[in-house]
Amino acid sequence: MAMRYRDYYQIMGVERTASPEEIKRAYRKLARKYHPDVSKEPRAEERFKEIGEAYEVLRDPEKRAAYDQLGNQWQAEQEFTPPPGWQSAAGRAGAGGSAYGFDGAQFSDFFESLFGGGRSRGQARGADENAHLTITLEEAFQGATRAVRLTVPQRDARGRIIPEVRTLNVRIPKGIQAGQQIRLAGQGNPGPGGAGDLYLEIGIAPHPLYRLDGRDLYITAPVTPWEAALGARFTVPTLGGPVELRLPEGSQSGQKLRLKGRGMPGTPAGDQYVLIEIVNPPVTSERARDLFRHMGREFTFDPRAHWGTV
Amino acid sequence: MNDIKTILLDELTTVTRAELCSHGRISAADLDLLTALGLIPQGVADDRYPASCLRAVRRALRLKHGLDTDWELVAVIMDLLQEIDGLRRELAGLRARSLYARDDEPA
Repeated sequence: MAMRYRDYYQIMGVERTASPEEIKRAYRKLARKYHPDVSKEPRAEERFKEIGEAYEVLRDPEKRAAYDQLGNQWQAEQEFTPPPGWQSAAGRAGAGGSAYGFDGAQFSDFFESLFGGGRSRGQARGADENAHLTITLEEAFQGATRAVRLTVPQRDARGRIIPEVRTLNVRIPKGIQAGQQIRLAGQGNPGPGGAGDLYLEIGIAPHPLYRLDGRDLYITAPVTPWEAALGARFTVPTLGGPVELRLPEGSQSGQKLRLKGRGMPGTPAGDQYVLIEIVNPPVTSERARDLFRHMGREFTFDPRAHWGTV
Repeated sequence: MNDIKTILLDELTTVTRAELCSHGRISAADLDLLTALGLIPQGVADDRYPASCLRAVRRALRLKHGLDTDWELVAVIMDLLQEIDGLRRELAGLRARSLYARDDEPA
């Protein structure tokens, strides 16, 4: 795979003549925008890795000087090979670096061709990787094994970084909650001191019937006015299987009935709440209108009585 | 395809102090500093920590390095992020408990 030139000044949005203070200011501004812990931008993590790499070079006078030696005739993404004799310049700049990016972040092959192996020397572990996995509510309830496809950087026989697609069978424990993380030891980037880890952050897809609040599940049960008034029995779906519910006489819209322990598994297990929603039948016939008129005459009921006289 | 053993980073699973430092790529001194700043609880019996602390350690480290700042400012940011996380959870809970919540609203 051809190596591409990275225009670190363009990535940072600064002139080639920018002072260290300007570079730091630009970095902080971009970090505020793209740091994945605070950013809602799409591809924030990927973008932030680029910014971290650019800052790693431009903040270090020796690395910056070595990078500047390449000249300004290069275009971003142009195919690139280091000029002859580059090794000595790279040696002066020093391999590795300190701290920018994440988790010992893997820098690009462009960076590595200029400055050597990544950001740390010695027997450092490879960088950790982060990924998101969205599962269904049913998978979160029952637990599951999911095949997860990841593209991870690997070194080929010549030491170049190449992307490799890897499929992992990941066991999802039952009762997992949205936002929780699973650590997969040794499934991150390779490194001389062993591979880094992979952290999977779990998301739970919206469900057409249930809504989730912590370990509690909520479902809306539409009922007829006569069921609400007179009471009824009906079957309610739960993730563990249907259960029979007794709707008390005189129920109102917005009331909730609790099915203890029928929520998500855990210590303790959550509950399932059934929210009652009274739904009027469509009045599409004269007979139906008559029935409602009859109710209107028979009931001395004013649901707005508490407003007083307005 | 490989079968991978997984560790859930929750409150029930625990890790040792050494594991927390090693997995979180943080020195023992910095871990003590995070504890002093209230970002990480004191280790409980046998110096073990809830595995969820690993997430907090990694987040703190990412913020420190990513924003090129010091631990004290990281602590302020972490507090605010935790508050935002809490408000988002509360909002999601209110939507879940609402009779008129729409399915397409983000949790």
